Amino acid sequence: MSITRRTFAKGALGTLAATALAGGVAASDVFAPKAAFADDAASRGEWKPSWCTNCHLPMCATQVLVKDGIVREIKGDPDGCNAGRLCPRGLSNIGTLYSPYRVQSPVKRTNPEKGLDVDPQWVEITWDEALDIVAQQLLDACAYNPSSIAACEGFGSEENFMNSPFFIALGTENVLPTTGSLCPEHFNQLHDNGQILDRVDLEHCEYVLEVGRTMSNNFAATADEQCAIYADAYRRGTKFVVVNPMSPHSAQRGEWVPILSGTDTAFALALIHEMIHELGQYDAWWLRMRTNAPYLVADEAVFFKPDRETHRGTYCKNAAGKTLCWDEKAGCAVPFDAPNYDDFALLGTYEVDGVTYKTCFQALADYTADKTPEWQEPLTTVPADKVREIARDLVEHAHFGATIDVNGYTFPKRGSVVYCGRGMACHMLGTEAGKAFGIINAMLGAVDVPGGMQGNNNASWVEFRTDSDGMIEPWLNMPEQVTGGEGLVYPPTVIDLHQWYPTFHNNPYAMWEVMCDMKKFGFDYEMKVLYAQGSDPLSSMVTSDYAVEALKKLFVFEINNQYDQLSQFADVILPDNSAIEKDAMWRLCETQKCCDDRTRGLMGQMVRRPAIEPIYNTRNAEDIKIQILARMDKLSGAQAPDMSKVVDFGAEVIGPMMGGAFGYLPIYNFIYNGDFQDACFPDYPSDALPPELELDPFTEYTYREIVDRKLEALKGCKGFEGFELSYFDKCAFWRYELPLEQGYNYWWAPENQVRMPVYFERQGRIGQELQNSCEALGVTVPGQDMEHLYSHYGALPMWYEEGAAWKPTEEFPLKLINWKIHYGVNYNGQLGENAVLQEVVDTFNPQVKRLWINPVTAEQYGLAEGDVVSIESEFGRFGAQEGKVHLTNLISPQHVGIPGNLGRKSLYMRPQEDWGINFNRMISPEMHTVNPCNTGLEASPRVKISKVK
Amino acid sequence: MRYGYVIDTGRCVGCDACTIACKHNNGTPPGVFFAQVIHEEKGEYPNAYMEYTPLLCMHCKNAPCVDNCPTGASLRDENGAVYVDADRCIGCRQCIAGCPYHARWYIASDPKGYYPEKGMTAKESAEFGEFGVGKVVKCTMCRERVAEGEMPSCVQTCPSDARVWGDLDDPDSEVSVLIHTMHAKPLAPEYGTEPSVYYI
Repeated sequence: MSITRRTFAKGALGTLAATALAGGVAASDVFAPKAAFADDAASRGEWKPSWCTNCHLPMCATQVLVKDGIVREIKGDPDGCNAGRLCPRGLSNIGTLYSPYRVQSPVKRTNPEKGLDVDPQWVEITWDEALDIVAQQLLDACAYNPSSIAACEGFGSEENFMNSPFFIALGTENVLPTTGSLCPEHFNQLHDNGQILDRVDLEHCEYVLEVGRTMSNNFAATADEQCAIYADAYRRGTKFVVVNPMSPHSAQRGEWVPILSGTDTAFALALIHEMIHELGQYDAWWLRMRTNAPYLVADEAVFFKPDRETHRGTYCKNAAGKTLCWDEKAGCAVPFDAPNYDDFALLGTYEVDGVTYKTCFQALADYTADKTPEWQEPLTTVPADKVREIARDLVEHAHFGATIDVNGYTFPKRGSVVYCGRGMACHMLGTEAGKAFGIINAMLGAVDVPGGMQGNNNASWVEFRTDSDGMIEPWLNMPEQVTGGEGLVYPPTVIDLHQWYPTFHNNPYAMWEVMCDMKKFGFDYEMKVLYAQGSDPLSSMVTSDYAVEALKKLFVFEINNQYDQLSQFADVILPDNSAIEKDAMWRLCETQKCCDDRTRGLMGQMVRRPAIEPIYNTRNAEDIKIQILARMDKLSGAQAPDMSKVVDFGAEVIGPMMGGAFGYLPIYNFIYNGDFQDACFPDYPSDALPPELELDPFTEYTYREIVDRKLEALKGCKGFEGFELSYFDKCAFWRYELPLEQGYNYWWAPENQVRMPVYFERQGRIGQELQNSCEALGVTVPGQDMEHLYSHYGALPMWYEEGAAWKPTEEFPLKLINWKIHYGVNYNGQLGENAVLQEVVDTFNPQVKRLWINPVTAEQYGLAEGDVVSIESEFGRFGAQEGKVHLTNLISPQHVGIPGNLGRKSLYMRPQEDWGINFNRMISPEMHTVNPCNTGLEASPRVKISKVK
Repeated sequence: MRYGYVIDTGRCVGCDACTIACKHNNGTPPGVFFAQVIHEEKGEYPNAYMEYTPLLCMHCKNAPCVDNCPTGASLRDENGAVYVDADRCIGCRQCIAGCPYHARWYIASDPKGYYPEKGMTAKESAEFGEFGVGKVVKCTMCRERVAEGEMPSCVQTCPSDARVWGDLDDPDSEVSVLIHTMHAKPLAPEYGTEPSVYYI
């Protein structure tokens, strides 16, 4: 074979041209330029580097062809992490750039009345007027109370790194990222390997049990070559067994196991039962060495509600406070970090100092003794025999005891893994399911090793840390879901109420009800201003009538390049450049979803220079923020913040802590100065700003100038040898890679240096501390039944039928589900109104704009393809909405489905005949309906449908 | 040399990136799709599946469109790419009638662009001149890109590497190897046009 698509993609064009001219190799014969087109080729234009921001992995490097100042073409950059590929979202950057429905100039509303269907009657104004209005409103709010400013950022712009210093400079505590309330899928990953997301190692894995995930449907992503890696695995024979109420691509190419949504916990418990009690097969070596399975624990069942068995337990500790395991050879309890972990008892009950303890694994075994496949069948609809078959396949493909040599390092190698997603997590019992599937991966020994589940970050960047019990303790991103953070903070100071929930993930949806009656929730001030960038806090979360009421009272301004639902309530919009017009900088420090040897150790730096001048009267969002702060005299300020206050890096944490005492530029210096780098990223190449590059707090820099100082500081750093700024004039992605073995995080903390839970002792402890705090203060969590709340903080995966299943009722007989589609992820790029993309959808795949229903169910309702139905949720505060049905055998009969995130519309968006159906209107923002551990929304409400025509 | 494609429908995830890349990079007006993907559900619950069939001009060796063209406007270049010389096209549409793969498009009126209520965008204004009224247009196998040493847009962009392109005359090329080892077949071979696009 003389050339492959991949070898071609990775070979730079320059190389090919050179070999062609030199008379070169076989490849050059294939691709040698043809003389007939030589002149045309020269006139086609100039390729300029850029990158795409239209998904969570905003790192697909692109090249755009510019001719006469007009972008004519776009393609993936062969030297990017996408290796020349580009998905529908990335290609759609051109459509966004030239859309006449962009915000083309600063605008202010002239109609004081606000509403979802009320025309703001925009008028264009100058930048000076717009910035003056916004700065004055912010100054007034700061004078009243800085926290009267609600600051929202979100997935609509993945380049809002600069929001952190912006929020800090404003001084508000109400930093409210509208990001993860519909994808709280981080719980099990954070517990298992301290990282926020999974990536399945498709290089070595041969059996993937995929739960609540849509590989390929959103894997059309080209970042990190994900989709190609998935397709390679499929062609290589990797088996995908997909547990899901709907059938994604991997199920269609593998095997689909339909399940009633929200019941994954019962399914997982039955798998654990099979592995322990029927098969007796699990990775005992791994459990002893790498988990708390051998820890001795005083486990007890607590019944906060009659139908809920919550487990809590305390470890057996010695006088020095060290947690103990039972040494079977020595016949006594020994500290967990004793070197002879192979001698630790995995099962059994032991007496230590007159007290009887179980091993954690025994507690799990006891708990799952009656969780048989037959027990779960009526709950989940998964046949018992299928559970047995899957359990058998998982252990057979695991190859316990197998090893593999990678660059001279011997790793354990596993061949089966459980891979979960938001469809598993977005439920009342989502964290319980997360615990259960995490336990299964622990029993397979399939974490951080070849063939197993990998964290999204390499441990060179996010090092392993442990608590005093040797258990993994995440620290960089979302650590609260494991550590419980500060515990209960009372009275709450942030209006999203997250401080009531020690292990919260993201719950900005709660702010709307609070804003409507601040005093009721314990706040002694009123909100004045709402700012949003990359965030439509209306349609990005659950839409509710509280939001409409709250927004009418506020001064609202957006930095945005397109109108969205929030724009209906905005007073001023400051128009951002489109990605292709925009300077940006992004550190590639993670890969997600899946990996193989091509991408496991991939890291790099991305820098985008504008490929063309802005075509409208727009500015870079980062420059806009600098200009606002300059008008507020907040660029300069006090010295750098107190390092001791830094526990995390990110707007949601760093912002509230700084309290507005610091100017923007000193903060920026702080983020890039050596102290911060050393404190937070000790193993990462230092790229601190040296003294000669530090920002002068009395100078109003452009964002480009700040970026270039950062880049200057990278010169000569590890991974950046030979680096020059001019590199980014040709390619937006500077690549460096870890040695292959270092891409497996086990390498960084082998054997028993870190342990993952099969018994979530800390969750029980956090719940007990929350209960103690609430009772001591005599307070209750707003909107919560406290027994319900406490019951969810347990050490073992809890199951109770009503909470888990939201069983269909006579009034609401169907369950609604939602999944990601590849035409747009979250709100990135606002692709739901992208003209070319939506034309392709409407022409070739209009089904994604319809309500999916199984033909058997459709027959009961007398429905045919394309019929219009009314859909009403038990939760919907906006009542019913209408949509066309799509009859499909790719969804199980108990469910109806709304794909993707379509149906978001407002008056100034591009008008469409078919907007699709909006899922977010069907779910609930009320706290008693959400997962009480991570505050994730219940994404499978019961619904009823009726035929309209 | 004869360039051709192998399309692995097992790898295709139905994302339509090929369609969108083709539209942006060839600047085609609304309703014109040189590349497209047919999404079709097959099978019964729970064994149903989506069958994706990426389509484009088959660049047939025995292309009836070339043979049918009365003015010699439909041509095949030295690499096997079938294209239309717009200067010679009289819009008789005999090529369309002769194409069993519906791979040609007739421009019946001035393209209005994607935002007819707002006028043409700068990109549309620069590109729609290629789509003269009364002309037939089609996939050219991205001849200009190929001349620059690139792959056709639909191939380069494919997230799952479902589209492979290369020299069918080279027995060692990836396309030839795939045709041989994966038993790739053209669509509707009964028309006898010897397509240059093979499917797995």
